[in-house]
Amino acid sequence: MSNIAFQRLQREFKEVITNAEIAQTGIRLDTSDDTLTKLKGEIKGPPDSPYEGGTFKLDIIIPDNYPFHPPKVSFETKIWHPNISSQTGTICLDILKDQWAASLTLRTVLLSVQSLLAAPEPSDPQDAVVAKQCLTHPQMFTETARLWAQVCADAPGERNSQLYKKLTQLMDMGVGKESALSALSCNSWDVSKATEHLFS
Amino acid sequence: MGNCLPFLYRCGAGDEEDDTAPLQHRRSTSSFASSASTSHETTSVANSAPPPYSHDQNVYYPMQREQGIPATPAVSEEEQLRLARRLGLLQELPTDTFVEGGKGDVECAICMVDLKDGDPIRFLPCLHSYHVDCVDDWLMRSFTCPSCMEPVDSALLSSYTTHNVNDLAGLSSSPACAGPTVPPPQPRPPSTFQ
Repeated sequence: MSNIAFQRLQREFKEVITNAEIAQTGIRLDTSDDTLTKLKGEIKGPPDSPYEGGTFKLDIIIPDNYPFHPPKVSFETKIWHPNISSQTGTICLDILKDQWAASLTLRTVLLSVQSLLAAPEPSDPQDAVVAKQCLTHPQMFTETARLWAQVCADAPGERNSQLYKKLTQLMDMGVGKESALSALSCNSWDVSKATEHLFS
Repeated sequence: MGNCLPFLYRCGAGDEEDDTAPLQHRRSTSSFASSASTSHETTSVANSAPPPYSHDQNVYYPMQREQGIPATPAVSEEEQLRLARRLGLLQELPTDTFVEGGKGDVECAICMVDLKDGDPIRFLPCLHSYHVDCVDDWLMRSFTCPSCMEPVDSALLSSYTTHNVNDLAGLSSSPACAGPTVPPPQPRPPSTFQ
């Protein structure tokens, strides 16, 4: 990593860790090694969204030519959102691609991801299945996204008993929590279709 | 290859006793020059027909050694033109040295280091300022202001149209703008043929 990248990252890190105002927005940054190439981010689900109160972990990889190229950011926590892959966690966000600017920082990137959760863009999807559900069955999308946040991101609140019952039904068959969620969500919460999808 | 001809000329024209000392000298300088040359030049040398003095192994040795080094990926002519145009445009942007308490930003938004007295800075048309090295590196990748995303070339072009319309064709950065400036010749009216 170049010297300019390392120095800048140190400053960005210090800003996020020491600033109380940033901590209030539910944004955290952590590092696993001293080289600052692989970072862990954390954002809180924004209020008035299905993700409210959830804690979402993000993988951040800093390229060698940072800040001239954007950091690679993806969700480690499973999430049901039209602009985020429900399988891999890849994010579709313009500032992480062609709209990146050198003056953007890790703090502004995490804030943008957080506002993406509050304002999904199903017309420009990353996950076609989620986007289709979001456009055709908005009610089911909201309930699904909320249950994912409650199950995978520890979001508080009453779980939708109808959906949760179907989930436990599949989990009792020995299916993992996340694959059961994914199979049910992709098959409009039809248990028999989801079972077929899982065991075929 | 520029020094081959004088070298050959001297080789053939000079007398035998006096020739050895300058030849030794020439050998060392030419091998130094070829090892310092870029791989692009080396390949062009290696591909051309062997020069008449090819028996001289000392001259050839460093070139053969450099053949093993992979050549840098070829940049398309279009890309080279784009980079050259952009470099030209960069020179049009005003530079200055930072003065504490003066106008402009106090921190370079690219490296996030506070600007110090005497730091060379460059102003963009939107009046944002950065370290010259930082912003030049960014502008070669994206010709927009890193802070406000204002496209630099359109602002630069419009500021130039007010000063000098004639320079516009030479300044335009996109190939679409670089169309023919001279209108196609009009067919002469038939009456003039008489």
